[in-house]
Amino acid sequence: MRLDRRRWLIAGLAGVTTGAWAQTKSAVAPTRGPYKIFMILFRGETPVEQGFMEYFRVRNIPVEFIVRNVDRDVKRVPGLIDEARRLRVDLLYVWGTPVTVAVCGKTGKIDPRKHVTDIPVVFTMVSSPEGAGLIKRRSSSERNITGVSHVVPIDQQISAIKAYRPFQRLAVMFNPAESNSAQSVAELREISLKSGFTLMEFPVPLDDRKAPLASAIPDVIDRIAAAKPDYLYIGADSFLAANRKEVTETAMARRLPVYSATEVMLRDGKALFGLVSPYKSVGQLAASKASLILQGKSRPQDIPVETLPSFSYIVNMSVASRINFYPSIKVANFAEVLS
Amino acid sequence: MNKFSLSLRIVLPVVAIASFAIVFNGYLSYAKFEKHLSQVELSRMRFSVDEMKNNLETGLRLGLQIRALSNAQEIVTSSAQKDRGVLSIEVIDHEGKVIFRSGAPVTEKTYPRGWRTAVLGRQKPLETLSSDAFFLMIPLVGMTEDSSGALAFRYSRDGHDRTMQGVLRALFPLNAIAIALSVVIGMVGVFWLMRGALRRIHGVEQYIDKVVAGTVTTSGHDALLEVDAAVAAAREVARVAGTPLNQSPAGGV
Amino acid sequence: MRRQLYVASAKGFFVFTLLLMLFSQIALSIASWPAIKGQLVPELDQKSSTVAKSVALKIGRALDYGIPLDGLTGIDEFFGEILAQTEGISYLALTRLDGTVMVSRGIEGARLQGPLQSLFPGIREQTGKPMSLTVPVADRNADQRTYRNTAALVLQNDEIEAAVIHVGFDPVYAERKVGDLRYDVVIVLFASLLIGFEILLATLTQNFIGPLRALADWVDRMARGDFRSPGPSESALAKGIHARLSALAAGVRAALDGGLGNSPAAGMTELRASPLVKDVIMIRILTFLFMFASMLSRPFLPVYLKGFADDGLGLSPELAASLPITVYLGVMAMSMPYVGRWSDSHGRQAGFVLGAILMASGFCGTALAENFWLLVLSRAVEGVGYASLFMSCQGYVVDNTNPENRSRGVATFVSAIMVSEVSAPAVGGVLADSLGFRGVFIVAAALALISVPVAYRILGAGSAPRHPASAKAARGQPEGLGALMRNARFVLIALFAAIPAKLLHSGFLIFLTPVILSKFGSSPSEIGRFAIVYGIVALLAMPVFSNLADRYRCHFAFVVTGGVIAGAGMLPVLLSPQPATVLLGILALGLGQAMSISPQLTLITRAIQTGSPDTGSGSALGVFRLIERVGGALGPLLAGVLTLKLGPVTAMAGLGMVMLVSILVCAVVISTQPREKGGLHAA
Repeated sequence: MRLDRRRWLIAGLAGVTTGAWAQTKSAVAPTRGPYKIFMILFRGETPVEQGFMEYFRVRNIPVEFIVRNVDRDVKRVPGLIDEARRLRVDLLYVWGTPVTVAVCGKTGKIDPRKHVTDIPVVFTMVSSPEGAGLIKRRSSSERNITGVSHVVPIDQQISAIKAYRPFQRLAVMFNPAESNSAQSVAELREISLKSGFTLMEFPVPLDDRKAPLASAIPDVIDRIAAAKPDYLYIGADSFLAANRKEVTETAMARRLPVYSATEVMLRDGKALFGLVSPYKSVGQLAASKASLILQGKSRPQDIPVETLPSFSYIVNMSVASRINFYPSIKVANFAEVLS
Repeated sequence: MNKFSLSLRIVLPVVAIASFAIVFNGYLSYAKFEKHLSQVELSRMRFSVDEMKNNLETGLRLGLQIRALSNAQEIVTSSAQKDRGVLSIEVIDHEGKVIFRSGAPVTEKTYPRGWRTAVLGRQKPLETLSSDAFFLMIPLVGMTEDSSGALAFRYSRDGHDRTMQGVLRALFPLNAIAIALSVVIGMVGVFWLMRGALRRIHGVEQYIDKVVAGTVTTSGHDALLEVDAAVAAAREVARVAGTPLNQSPAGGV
Repeated sequence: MRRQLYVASAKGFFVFTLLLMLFSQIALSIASWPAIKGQLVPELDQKSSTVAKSVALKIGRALDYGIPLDGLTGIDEFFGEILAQTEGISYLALTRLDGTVMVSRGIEGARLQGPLQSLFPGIREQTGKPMSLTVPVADRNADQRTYRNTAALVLQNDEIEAAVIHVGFDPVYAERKVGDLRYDVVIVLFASLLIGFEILLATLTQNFIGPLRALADWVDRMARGDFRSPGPSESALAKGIHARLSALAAGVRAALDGGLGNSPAAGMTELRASPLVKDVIMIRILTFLFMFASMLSRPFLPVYLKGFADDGLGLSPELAASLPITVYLGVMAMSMPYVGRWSDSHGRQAGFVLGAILMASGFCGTALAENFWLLVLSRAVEGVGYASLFMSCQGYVVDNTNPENRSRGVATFVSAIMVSEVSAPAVGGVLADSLGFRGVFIVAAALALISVPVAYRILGAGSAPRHPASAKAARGQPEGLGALMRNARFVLIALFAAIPAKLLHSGFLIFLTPVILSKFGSSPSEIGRFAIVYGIVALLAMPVFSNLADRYRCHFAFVVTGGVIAGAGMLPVLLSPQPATVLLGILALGLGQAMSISPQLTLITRAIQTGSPDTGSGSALGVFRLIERVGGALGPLLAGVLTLKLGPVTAMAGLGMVMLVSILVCAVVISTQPREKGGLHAA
């Protein structure tokens, strides 16, 4: 019986050792360059694409970039998909929610004839991949797509606002016709209850064709100023981004501190501050995922959809001095200050 | 073996243990102080290192790689110049290669063991005091895995050593006195106790003599009952055997 | 007579030595503090200066961006964060160039204002030099505290002076932390007293008590009518009495010879000196040495082992930590019969020396290993070494005692083990703080090697086994195993009371406690302090409970209650995960096991006698011990797996549940069985 016991102990030890060695690696055939990446853009080249292409350049990875712009017309996508197939590209790069949905289709409603299921796809600038129906979980899309989300999680945004100076009343201006804007307002509502601040919603009025009225902007801002919020929140809203100069300059004139969730309103507008994903970094992160796929080290379904590991806190100091609303000492020290 | 060497046999271990305990006690004081001193020193250095880290990471946050940080060399050089105790500051990329440096070059062997796994791999800071310097290493977080890196900081331990020498100079005389006193008191005490022990033994010897000679009354609290019993048993056996016991006292001691 | 002969004197020696050690250490500690005081201040000054300059820089940067000095916000929180993250700093203050306090944290601005303002010109002149600042503690009383204040100028654009930052600390408070050696000193004191006691006991026995006790025994024998003479006295102390007693005995023998004709006395063989007194007590010091060495690393072993986990092994840290311990315990248990046999045939001295060398190599291997598997191998070698040491010492005791005084001999052996269980972990913890983990292993190896020459001196004579049969029985060959396994009570108690207790002991005390406590942030010396609690409780409570159990014949009740206490004590940590509840668990374990260990043995012996009387009790007990040790070996493994799945705190409660459930099953099943003659729980 003693011998049995000893053998048992040895067997146990052996089992542990083999278990440690049984690590499976996905067997993917590596491919060599030069790689062909087909890029479908929504409104022309942005800093995201610059960051994306720079990643490969800096690391001397040979890539041929084929760039196409749908110029805000999603109906052009099927034709571009055909072109990509004809050219036998290695990877598709897609920009923005409308293009990504057109190329990949929503989960559960994928049509292999219309949508791309055989070529790996990397997407960028999709505010909410789950909300758009592209993926169920970020850890795996469970199909041939992966990407980078550029939206900073809402709780981190609220912390960023508090860090500037504590607040009680937050006004949000948005285009109700954009689904991602409506969604972020919903998230704000939820967090306002948890964190105990007051949220005041100011949708831009729509015309009969459900399009937002740019002419109504000054009036909306007047109403906001009258409500005396501590800050005005501008989310990832394309309409407001398109009208950034008018929005931010009017707000500044009314001495409204404006928080922006996107970079463009800060660098090319007069928003006061924001916690943003720098577009170039978004492109770089997307490129690092694309690189893994191209070199055969991973498949898209094994690469999680992620945000950047850390975000940029940007403060427009000239705006701050104009409206005489300076940030706290902490923010002044670690933020990227634009003057 | 005489009384003196016997006492010595007892004294020596006693004094040895007492001395050892004193030395250990002194060592404790020294070691604990050193630990606290190092903690204060490292936290001071950590302060400066964290500042550098924040400066460098501002650039990294924009998606740049370590080697593309244009202000890194200036940050590192000015930090090193501010304090004469700084031996070297190095900015390292994700593969462990030194990209920027100020101060004397450091060979990889002098880095603490396991720094790659700990700092580059698990992104945890490393703080040690090695035999030649203080060493701090903290991770620098970039946007992608290959744009991260680490910051390595080496600081001279001369100030530390000088302070510890001062502590040693202060503690040493105290310990020496304590040991000396223990030895003296120990020896005196043991000799004295040994005298008492011998006195008691002699007392027993005399008692035996008296009982055997029959000149002691078995009452009183200083009676040694066992001896009485033994002698009584001896007498009894002898009586039964019919021969009176040879009552002469034991021949000499 | 004994009192006068040696007891009183021995007590005197002990008390004197222990008092000497006590006073010398206390006096030294008290005297050392003023010597160290003040040495930390320069470094704290430098730290204040660094902090002040850094804060000044940050404020200057904000000013550079155009924020006016009065427009700065959030300074209060900023200061608060710094105070929270940086030890040793009492306050931070921002003042204008005229000394008026704008913001301060740590001490109210109002209290700082006066002293700062009066000192301000000096501060302005020599910014950066620490100055003493006396601040009233509260507004009411005249209490004051003195701080060291270091200032730094806030510069705008690197040139224009705009404000001043002040950083202050209380030197008395900061240094008190260094002087807070109290606990460690007490531990070292306690441990050194115990060690001193052991060494003194050995020395005194050898040179003083031994020979004198032999004389007293001789007198007692004579009182009973036995007039044989022991051999010549080796001790100068004993010579006088020895001669007198010899004369007496010779007189009696002569009387017998004379009176009875033929000499029955001539047939009386000389009596050998009772071996128990001298030799077996000496085994105590050897046992103490090797047990002390092996227990030094208890407080931190799992933490040390965990550190090897992340070298790309594929093993989770928890398993990596528990595997070497399990290997050690398992190898130790398995090898005991073999090394026992070896020391039977080659002699106890050889067995001990072999064990010491193996154990020392094992420790060196553990200290120097870079590789996890090398570590496991070292632990296995250590296990064999420990087994050999243990079996040799135990065998020596058995060899040199007869059944009447054997339990005294074993008790000596066991109490040496308990003393080292109490003192070693604490000392190990303190050493680990200063020498590092590896250093402690080297110390342990050194101790193991030191025991070799001591063993040569002590085990030289009488180390060949004299009673092979009893030695074999003590080892416990599993003869008649089948009958034992059919003995329901035996199996029940072994499986449901003894094994869970051992699981709990090795899984919780040896493995989980360091893991959990270091997770809560305790240092090795703090963990050692906790470990000592178990030893003390067990040491004090065990004799009390075993007496009570014998007196009231409630062994079964004690076993069950002890198990319940030990198991239940593991649970509160779930509600409140902090060191205090871990300590509670340790206390409960100590108490519960003190309650149940001795009665458990009684129950097992009874179960063997009533249930399977054919199996020799020696070998049956050996089987029992082996089963227990298997439980002990599995403890860390089980704890490791539980930790992996549930986390260490829940694992602790899990082990407690295992104990509770098992002991209750045992209680229920046994109490529903029909009472036998001389029943198990005749209370």
